[in-house]
Formats: sequence, structure tokens, C-alpha cells
Amino acid sequence: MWIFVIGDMAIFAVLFAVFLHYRALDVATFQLGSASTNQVLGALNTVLLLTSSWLVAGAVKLSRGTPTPAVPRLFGGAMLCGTAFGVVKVIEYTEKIGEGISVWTNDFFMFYFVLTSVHFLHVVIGIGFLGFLVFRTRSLVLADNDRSTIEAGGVYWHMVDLLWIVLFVLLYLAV
Amino acid sequence: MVGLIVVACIKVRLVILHFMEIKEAPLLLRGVLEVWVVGVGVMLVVMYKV
Repeated sequence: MWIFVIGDMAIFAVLFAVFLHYRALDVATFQLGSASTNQVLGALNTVLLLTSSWLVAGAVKLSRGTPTPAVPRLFGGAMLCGTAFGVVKVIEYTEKIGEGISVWTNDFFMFYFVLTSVHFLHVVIGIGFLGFLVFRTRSLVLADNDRSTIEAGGVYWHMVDLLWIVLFVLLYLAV
Repeated sequence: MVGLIVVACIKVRLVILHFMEIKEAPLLLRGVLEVWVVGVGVMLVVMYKV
């Protein structure tokens, strides 16, 4: 999982660079674009993912000790936060499309929709992974490979969280 | 904006060190991730145009 995570982080680093390269070619369009994003919803999504990461970190730590029903509850809580992130994202996209803005509107919005959708796909996969962890940790009997699956799920989810922290700044706050 | 990038990098580093528990990880893994944070931070500051 670490090899995947580091590879994915490297790919996103390149995407950030590509975004900033195109931004430098047309700063005004990108500034206007950022200013027109819903920064409140973006900030809410940041809080949701940070909260979910905190819950996952707690669940992973607890899972190393005596089995407890708190572990699946914490993973479940993180799943809820992730789902709420998805709901907010759908509201945002609907808002933009309602304003007549789409991936074809200009370069900024092409990046906005593509980068946030790719990230959202990672979130959806992560929610699935968390759901699997809720299922496994409910059994209260953990095998060795369950433990490494839990660690992997945690690391993946934190990656999803930290990538959003950067995306939020680049897309929503760079006015 | 540079301030926002720095704050974002601090937040990312905190997620890496504490949530991902890299503070207790082997130095090589920690090194790779610290390089990512610093590298991405420097890149964002250098490439960001007003």
C-alpha cells in the first residue's frame, strides 16, 4: 500500500505542477475561477475529511489492542464523514452546472472538475475500503492479515485527506 | 497566498506524521514523505503567480 500511496502522491504532485503551469499562462481566468468556487463548501469538505482522518487514526490505534466495538464505530463514523463529503461535492457540482459552468467553460474549470472528480473517485474507493474495515472489525477477532488491511486502509484514507488539503488551497483559495 | 501554501504544508505534514504515524516509521519512509511535503511546498510557492 505504501508503494501505491507514494506513487499516487507523486502523480498528484505532477498534477499540481501542471495546474500551476497553466494557471501562470492565464492568471486572470484562474483567479476569477477560484473566486467563483464555493469556498464555504470547500472548507466544510476540508473539515469533514480532517475529522474522518482523525476518526480513522483513532480506529487504527484502538484495533491494535483488545478488540472493542469502538473500532467499527469509528470506521463507520469516518465513512459517514466521507459520504457527507460526497454529498457536498454533488451539491457543488450541481450548483456550478446550474450556473452554466462545466468542464468545457475554460481551463480553470477543466482543472476544477477533473482534479476534484479524480480526488472524489479516490474518496469513493476509500469509503468502500472503510466499509470493508467496519465489516471485518465487527467480528472482534482479528487475524494478522486483518491488521495489515486495517493499516493499509488507514494510510490510504489519510492520503485522500492530505491531497484534498492541497487541492482546496489551489482551487478554492488562490484568488 | 504563500502563507496559505505554508499552512497547507504544515497541515499535510501533521497528517503524515501523526495520522499516518510516520513519526515512528523507518527513516527512509519518513524521508520520502518529508521530501514530498517540502518539494510540493517549494514547487507551489515558486510556480504560483499573482
